[in-house]
Amino acid sequence: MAPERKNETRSNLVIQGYSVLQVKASERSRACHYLYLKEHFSPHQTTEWPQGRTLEVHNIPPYCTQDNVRKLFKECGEIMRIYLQPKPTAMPLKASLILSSDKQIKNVTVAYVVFRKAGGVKNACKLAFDTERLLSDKDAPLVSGLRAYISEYKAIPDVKAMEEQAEAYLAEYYKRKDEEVKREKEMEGVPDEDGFIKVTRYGKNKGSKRTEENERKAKEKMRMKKKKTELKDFYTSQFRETKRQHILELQAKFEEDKKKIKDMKAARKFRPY
Amino acid sequence: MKRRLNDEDSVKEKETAGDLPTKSRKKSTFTDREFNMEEISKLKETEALYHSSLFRLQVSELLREISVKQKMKQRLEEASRFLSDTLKNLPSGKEHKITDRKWLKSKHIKNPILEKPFQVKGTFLFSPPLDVFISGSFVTDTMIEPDIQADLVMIMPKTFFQPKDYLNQRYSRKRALYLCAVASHLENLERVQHLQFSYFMGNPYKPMLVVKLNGHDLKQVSLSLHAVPESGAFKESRFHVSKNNVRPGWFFEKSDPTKDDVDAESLPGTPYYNSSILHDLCWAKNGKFVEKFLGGSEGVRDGIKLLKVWLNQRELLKGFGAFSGFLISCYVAHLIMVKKINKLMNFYQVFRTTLLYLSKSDWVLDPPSFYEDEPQRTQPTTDEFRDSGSCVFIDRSGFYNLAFSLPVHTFSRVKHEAKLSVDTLEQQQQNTFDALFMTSVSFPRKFDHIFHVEVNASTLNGPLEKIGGIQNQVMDVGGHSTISIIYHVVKVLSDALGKRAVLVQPRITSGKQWAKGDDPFEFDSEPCFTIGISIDNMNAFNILDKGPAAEAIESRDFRAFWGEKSEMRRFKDGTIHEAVLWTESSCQSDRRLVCKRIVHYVLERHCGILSKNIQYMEGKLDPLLHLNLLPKDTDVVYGTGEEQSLAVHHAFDHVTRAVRALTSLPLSINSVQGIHPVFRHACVFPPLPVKQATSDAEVVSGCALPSERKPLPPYVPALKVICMLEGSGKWPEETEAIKGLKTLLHIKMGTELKDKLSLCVSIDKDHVDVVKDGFVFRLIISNTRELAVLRTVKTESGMVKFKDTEKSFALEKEIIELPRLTHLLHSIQQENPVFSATVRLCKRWLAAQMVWGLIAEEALDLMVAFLFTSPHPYSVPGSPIAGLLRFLHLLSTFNWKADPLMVNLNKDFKDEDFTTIPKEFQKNRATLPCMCICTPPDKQGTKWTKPQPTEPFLKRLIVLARESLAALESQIMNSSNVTDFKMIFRPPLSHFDLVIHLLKKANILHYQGVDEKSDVHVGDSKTGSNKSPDIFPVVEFCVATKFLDDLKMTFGDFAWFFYDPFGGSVIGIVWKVQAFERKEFKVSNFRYRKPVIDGDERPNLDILKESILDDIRVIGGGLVESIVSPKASH
Repeated sequence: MAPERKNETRSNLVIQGYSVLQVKASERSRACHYLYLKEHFSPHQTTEWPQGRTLEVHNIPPYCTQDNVRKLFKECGEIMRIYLQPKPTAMPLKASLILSSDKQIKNVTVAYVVFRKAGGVKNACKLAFDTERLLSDKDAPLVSGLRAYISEYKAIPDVKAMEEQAEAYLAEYYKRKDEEVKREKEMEGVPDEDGFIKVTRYGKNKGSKRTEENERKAKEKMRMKKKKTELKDFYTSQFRETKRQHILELQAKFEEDKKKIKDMKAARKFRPY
Repeated sequence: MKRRLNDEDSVKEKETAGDLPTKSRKKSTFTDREFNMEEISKLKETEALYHSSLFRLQVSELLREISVKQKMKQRLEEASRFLSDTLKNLPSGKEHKITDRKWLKSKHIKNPILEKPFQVKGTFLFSPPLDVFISGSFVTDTMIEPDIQADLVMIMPKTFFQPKDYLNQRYSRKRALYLCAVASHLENLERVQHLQFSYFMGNPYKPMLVVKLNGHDLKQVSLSLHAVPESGAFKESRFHVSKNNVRPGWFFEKSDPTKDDVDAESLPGTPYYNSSILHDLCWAKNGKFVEKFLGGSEGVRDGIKLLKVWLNQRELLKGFGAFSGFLISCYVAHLIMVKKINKLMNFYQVFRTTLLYLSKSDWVLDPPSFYEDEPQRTQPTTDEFRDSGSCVFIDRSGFYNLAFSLPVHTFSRVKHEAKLSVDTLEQQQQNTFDALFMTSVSFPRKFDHIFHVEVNASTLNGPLEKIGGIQNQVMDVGGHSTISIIYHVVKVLSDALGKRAVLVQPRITSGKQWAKGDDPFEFDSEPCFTIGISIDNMNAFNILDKGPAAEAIESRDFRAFWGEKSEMRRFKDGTIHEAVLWTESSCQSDRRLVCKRIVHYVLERHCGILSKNIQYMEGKLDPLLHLNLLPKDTDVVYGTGEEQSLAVHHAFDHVTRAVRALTSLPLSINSVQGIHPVFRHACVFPPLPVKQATSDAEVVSGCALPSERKPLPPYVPALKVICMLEGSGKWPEETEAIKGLKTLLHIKMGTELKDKLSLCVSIDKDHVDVVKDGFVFRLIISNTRELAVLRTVKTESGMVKFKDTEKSFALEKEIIELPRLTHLLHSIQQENPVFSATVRLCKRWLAAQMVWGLIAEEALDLMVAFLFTSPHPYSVPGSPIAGLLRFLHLLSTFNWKADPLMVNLNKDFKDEDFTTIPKEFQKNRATLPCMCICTPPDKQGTKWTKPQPTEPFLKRLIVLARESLAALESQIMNSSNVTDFKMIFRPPLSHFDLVIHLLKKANILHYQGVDEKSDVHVGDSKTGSNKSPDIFPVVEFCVATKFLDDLKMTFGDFAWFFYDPFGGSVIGIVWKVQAFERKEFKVSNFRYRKPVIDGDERPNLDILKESILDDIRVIGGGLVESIVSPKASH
């Protein structure tokens, strides 16, 4: 079913604020992608995505590269930066944390295009719906399939660069840590404004680490201490209680088993043929 | 003051417990109002006397299900009264010769007994039975569902018999004719629906008439009619076990038959024939005796019913050579007689005691007996009974052997099963009940090796000529040669296999029925007979049978038995022994077939059965694990891959040593453990040594790279190895910093391996790849600190909490759980050389269903491990086929919803675990995944079954397993030699919506495909290790799986993708229906949808299927050949 045109005068199609574009991957493609364009708006002002100059493009195909996006929108105005992301966000996702694998982000669905001028965004939103645009050409080829896998493999990291990067990060990290330790040591024994002294790892009276495990152990210890002082099966009533408990247990188990049997019976589990 | 719970107290306790509610403890949570004293005492009894209360309840339910309903009993009683009235009033017939067939022909009845030779003297004159009585399990009330049949016994009058009727099958033939005469009268009755003949207990001398008739309330009941002579018709001593009553002169139709009668003493005995007649003579006497012992005790009665169910599930209750229901009743009666069981015992005690004594008894050397009086001179001695070749159970009269039709091999099977079951009861494991009573132990699942021998002229005549004395046995069983041949084959095989086999047993053919106008069932007319071998994993795979020392006297026997196969060999200790070598190859796949070679050789040598008539099932599935290696002249042999796994282990040892010797790392290495499936012998196709990259390949900084213009390089997996470093306070406390540190350590490690040991190395941030002997090992440095850091959460109050996150979960699996699991499974393989092939075959099956990845590989490993750690009701699998069958059975019948599967790895479960784990499971069932596999380190059982498999998938998997099991079992039990065993490994494609065909050049693993015959090139591990390779090969580069992963990631919301990673050439697509519904116009629904606007309605979104297909083609550029609909092409 062909989508109806909402705004006849301009040949673009706008639905709930989203302009729709038809895009084909290449000339050989049989069907179009429908791209959904909108000016990016976010309560968080970011320097990367300046207000008014950033265009959100939804439903881009997963193999889309920066070159492909650039090709699509270069007629609208000068493009400064392009962000490709697997999901829409308010702020740019941190481009691959410093040391985690910085392989190409896969499965992209959204592109954020930052134009030099605000006009770029407007032009993009006004692009005609009817024209089927191509995502690729000679300068911006499709990188997908076997070719993509091979080029991905070829991106072998340089050991030297890796080493330098890691060393730099670690140096920075240890420096930061040292400073923290230093600060804490300085604060050791110094009461805060309410007069409390914080117990730290560096004082004379360290105390054990406050973890869940340790607290549980402490509680257990208390319990055992208490238990030791008790006399077991000393009074007749206690003795009777133990026995009663035993029967109760048996009964509970019986009930439980009976329930289980009922379930099994329902599942016809008792026919050995 | 010290008190214990003892019996005196418990009496008092009952009182207090009984009147508790009225006393002051009302306020307590004691909710036993509905529990009266009786019930409480029952509970206590349960605790003391039964296995467990659940077991008791389960068995009670089972008994309710299998016991015959009161209505049915009444119906049977009425029907038998009706029949006996009719029978007693039958008119006498006319006198005929036994051989006269005219009168039978006019009635369209054929005598239900094999008449070979046909000529026999004597006449037949029908006279109505003196009396008709109901006997057997109906009287003792031990009948079980289904197929309820009451035994009705007619007493043939003395006058019916002539002198010498005991001779030459005359008695049996007249008895059969008697049944014919009865049948001819009964068929005119209106109430009779159905008349058929069958052999009683498969005994060819003893046809019985199965009558189905309408009960008084018009529901059908089934009765079987037997005939016995009036007491005193024959002297019992006439049928002394070693006497001859079938004259060879008559049977073999010699010219001068009278000669036999002169020296009857010297003729070969006919124990089977004699006992068959004695059975009739002593029927009433033994029946009464047993009834007397069994009567009046509910526990005994129910115990026998349970024993029958137990036997029936093991296919041992019915058919020729089976352990009949009457025999088990007799044995229980015997145990009561010798005061091992008393009538006050409950069913559990009766059942358990009987099994216990069965497992300890020996019915040949120390036979049970009903006979209590002084032995008489005319009675056979125990030795004489023993010589008859069957088991012995002397009856009340002292003449008759109750177990005459129970061969020794069946008894050893029963004994073996009893032992297994007693063990099961003792081990207090879960699912005892299922293992004992509910799991059917089918023949193909029970036996490791199964073979069929075709029955044709050559397989019948061969043995008859070759085996000495067999003719007399054929005479004894009335001309059914197969019966005697099977016995001989089993005996010879037991001797030949010796310690290799635990059990050798023919399949018991269950009772055939035929219409009255048909020829009687002939054992020789069966297309084949089937023999199963249960092997001993410790001995079965030896390639050499060491005989006695060369100079010993026994060596002559040894040579005589093995013939030219036997040769003298000098052994390592300097002694010279006779020995038989079965194969030169030490390949595990060849070792598994040693038994097959022995069977072929021995049957030809001793039984005259040629191997072309034998269909041996073991090894039939081996082609699924086999690869054709090139070049042919390498020393690498690829049987079913076990050796390849070992080669990897061997190379890994070197790498471990090298890594441990590293000096440049600041911290010492605590452990080096492989986690790739190959390290637990569970990799379907273990990696092959990589071929040296040719010089024209693209090489950058020592690493070969794939290229678009050249054929894709072969797949080289990187075998992950975890190097656990010691803990230290110096480890950073942030994940990023830990990663940085690890990168530096990896670089150090890689450089040292490369420079000092001149290994071929490739360094990456999170691993170091090392080539050794043509295998690539991926070394990963890790430390538990990282795990702790990932888990640590600081609460607001400053308390440090540990909480599992997705990341920590994954890391824990990799660095803690997998090494542990790998280690535990490796030790199973050390004990059982069959484990590896079994687990790999099971995985292959799963992959072939194109559902790989929908369930964790490790879950599968554990399920197979379960077959080895808790094999009940079987013993440990001895062949991959048996293993696969049991795996499929486990998968399809285990109640995943109600129970966790407890895999007792290393036997580390404690006794209480068997109660606490199911209890915990019950409590948390709602939140647990649909499949729980517990191991000692993972008591909750969710490590490997979360998030996969999902419930719908598990259901599908169960269906697949059930269908495959049925198909494979029938294939194995089918003797045809054209069976295509790969059938269950070829799933139908028609249930996919679309199928993507991959280009062959992109599918680099195509040589692993189920139907592929192509060869695979491998490097030579020998030269590879000497000359250090300078070019690092392309690793982990399998574009087909990469493509599949991309498809799943990109289109996972719209469709499921199915693929067989072992050389599969197609990817199946199934659309998700809900994705095709019209969606609201929202950002989250934009993907692959187009807008639609219907009039004034809000805009919606519709799916663009064409666009998805287009993108599949783009993503699969250079990989996809075509995308087609399988429905159209088929």
